[in-house]
Amino acid sequence: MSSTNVGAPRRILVADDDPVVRHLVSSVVRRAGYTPVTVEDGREAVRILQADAGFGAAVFDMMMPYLEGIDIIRHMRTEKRLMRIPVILMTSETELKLMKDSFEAGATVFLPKPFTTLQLQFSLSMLLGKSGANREPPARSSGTFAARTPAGRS
Amino acid sequence: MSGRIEVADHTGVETCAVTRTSALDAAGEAVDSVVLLSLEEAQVEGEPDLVVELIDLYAEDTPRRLDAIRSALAARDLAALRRAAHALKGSSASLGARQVMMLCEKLEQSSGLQGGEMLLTCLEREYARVRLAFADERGRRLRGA
Repeated sequence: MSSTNVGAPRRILVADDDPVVRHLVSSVVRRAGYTPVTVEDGREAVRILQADAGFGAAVFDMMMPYLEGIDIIRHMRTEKRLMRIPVILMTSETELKLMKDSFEAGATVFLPKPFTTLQLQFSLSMLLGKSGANREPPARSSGTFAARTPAGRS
Repeated sequence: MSGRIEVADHTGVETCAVTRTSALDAAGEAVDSVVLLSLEEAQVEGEPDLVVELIDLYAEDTPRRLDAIRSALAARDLAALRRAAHALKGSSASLGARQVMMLCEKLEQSSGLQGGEMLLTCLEREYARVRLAFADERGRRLRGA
């Protein structure tokens, strides 16, 4: 993926119950030229997705009220109109089993907190097909940054 | 995580002994200024100072999180304690409040409620330091210094 993914929706769904992280992610999304649609819990994220599949990507926190990020992804991967939306799953947990479970559920990027803004920018660029995907992933001092090929894309 | 936190109760006096191993912690900074600086990468041109906005959100949200931890301890509700500590851990880590983050981690990982009150005391003390550091940072940024 070396060029902008022409035609991909310009909106990004952001779900996190933490207002600090939600605002930070929204700012990174806007700086990347996309429009964030923010919600505070998993149930609200699913409600929006049921009515609207027009998102270029989604960024979910793992641990949220009502519904965890990984459960939203499982739901999305069973719905034809949602299954191709790439998802970044953020979490404070770093255990390898959780990362494995996240990828099995259909997460595209596993992003441990705290992440740097550059790491999030890189992840978004990769998912949305911008040239940033050709750069080396930014280094981090702890945790694990991991990604797999977005669903349905080469 | 490089720091190790030991909480002890010596001679009836509550003590928060934090073993600090990084250069940052040794300097006793409540907030990692490098983390705050890195947040500027997300600043959208022409919009209000992002770091100030994040500090304000943290200041608004944290008392609620501390209340939740306090209530969970009072109710001896371990699941609620872990949820509340986890939530505060995330926002604190994002803004470089490392000692608060580590104390929350300690609370989150506690297998029982014993020692929780003392951890909460440590957490409140550390948050007071963070609040002062953020007030300074906020003022500096608003003055354009």
